[in-house]
Amino acid sequence: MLFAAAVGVAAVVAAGELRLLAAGLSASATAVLAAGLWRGRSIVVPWALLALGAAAAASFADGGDPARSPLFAAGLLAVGELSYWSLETRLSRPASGGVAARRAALLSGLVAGSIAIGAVLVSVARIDAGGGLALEGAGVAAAVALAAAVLALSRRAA
Amino acid sequence: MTRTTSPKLTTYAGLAVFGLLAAVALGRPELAVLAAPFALVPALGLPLAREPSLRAWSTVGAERTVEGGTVGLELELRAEAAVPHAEVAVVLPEGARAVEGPNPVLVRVGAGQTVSLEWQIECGHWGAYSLGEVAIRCRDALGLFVYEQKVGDRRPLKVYPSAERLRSVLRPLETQPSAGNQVARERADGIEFADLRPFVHGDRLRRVNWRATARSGELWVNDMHPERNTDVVIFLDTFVEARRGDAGTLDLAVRAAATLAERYLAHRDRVGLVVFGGILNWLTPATGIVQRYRIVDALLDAEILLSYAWKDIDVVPRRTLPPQALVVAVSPLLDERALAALADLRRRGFDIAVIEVSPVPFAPHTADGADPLVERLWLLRRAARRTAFHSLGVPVVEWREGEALQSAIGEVASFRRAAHLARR
Repeated sequence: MLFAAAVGVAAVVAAGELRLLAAGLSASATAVLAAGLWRGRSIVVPWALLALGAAAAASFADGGDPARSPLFAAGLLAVGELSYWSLETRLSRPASGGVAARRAALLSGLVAGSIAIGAVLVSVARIDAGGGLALEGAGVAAAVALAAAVLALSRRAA
Repeated sequence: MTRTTSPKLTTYAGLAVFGLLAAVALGRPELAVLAAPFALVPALGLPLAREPSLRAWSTVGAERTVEGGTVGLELELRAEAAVPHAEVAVVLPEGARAVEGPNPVLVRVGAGQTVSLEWQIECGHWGAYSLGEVAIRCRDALGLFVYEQKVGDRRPLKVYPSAERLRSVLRPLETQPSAGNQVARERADGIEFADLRPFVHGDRLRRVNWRATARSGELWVNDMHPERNTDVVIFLDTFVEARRGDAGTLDLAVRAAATLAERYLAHRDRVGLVVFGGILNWLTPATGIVQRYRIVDALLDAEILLSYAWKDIDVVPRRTLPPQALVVAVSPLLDERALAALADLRRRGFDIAVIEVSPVPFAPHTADGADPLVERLWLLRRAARRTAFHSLGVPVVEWREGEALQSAIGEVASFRRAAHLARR
């Protein structure tokens, strides 16, 4: 919840003329997430993340600094992970403190990894590789390939 | 072990694909950066996801307990490969709850490690339970898949009804030939003094009352009452019950029946049981600790089963109701079939006492919106039923939850004393 609010506030601060839109999206995302966590509904998490992501995207639309995007990405991941953590352990109590500590360490590692990957992606995006239909097609193919890879891996893990 | 995809995997994969497509469509690389962590988690987690190999053994601490008592349940978990996140929950039957130990509990089981968990389960209501099954829900390191399984053998656990306090029980009018604790009416060898009578040939010398003999100048002997046992049949009416929430007349009736059986058996009497209702069950009278467990086990199976079939006392095997037995009926007096059977027993010469487990506290009252006239008519009808039994010489005593069973037994005893005097 606090992370969601923090990401939302950061998006509003970074947004220029689209501040109102970013504020609306952030507020609704935080409210929806709060209600969902209170009621124990995991269905609200993707919608809250989508709204927060849209608020972050709005901050870049008005000439925002793209270098901040890895931080937003890491914040969004933290919101997602913490929300699911909260929902998964809603009823059960840990038998020892080690379970929570290990998960917190894993979460920190994921956040740090996502910042690093984001930074690499930002620097790659600054390289002028030209444009054109071929590159657009490659991008779409990459997205479709990602979806196919996730599907294949999830089936193989069965 | 059943495996399901967690909502997290679906969400992250969807967000990653959506973000990448949006980045391509809008020409904004920042969107790809925002989506990248959501692709990273499945990319790391899916190749590493393995079904956890967990083995579990559960042990239930006891096979029997009493209402409100606790039973220990131990579980040992052993994993071949590390299980980072395992939620363990004891599958509790209705009426049972874990009073010690969190349920469910979250544990981490290391590779080759054994984790022991313990709970104390309280059974709040008498009955036959099965305990020992444990549900385990595991997740992989990144929580992308959920693996669920149930482990442990279900062991039967008998929860006996808690006994009411009873100082004395209702004594039958007639005794049986075997030795017991009940002072018989007839005169024979015994301890209790009965009367004096003139000496006749065959009387033992030690029974001569020398004081009376010296006063009268001829031999007088003491007559004694022998100690005999009695036959008691507990008649449990299970045709219908009145229930409100967790409490009902059947619960009280079973508690009273178990208490009476225990007390009579402690007096070395032979006790039998007739569960008269939708399901007919009976136990022929016997004595001893084994009979006590038989009766309580039979009471645990007592349930209300709706039946429209007419049943009379002829369906009960004859040897279940020995002559001169005291029949203690525990009934809410709600069903005509049970009332007719009791009246029939009385007409056949059985000594009967009825403990009426009052359904009034469980019935809807005027405050609950019931018509006061209906309530009054119902109560009057119940009073008429009691009067009909009284006219047959059968004492009927109302017993309510919270009241001592001893007072009801005392009331029956005083009714029988009065009836006895009236007959004379």
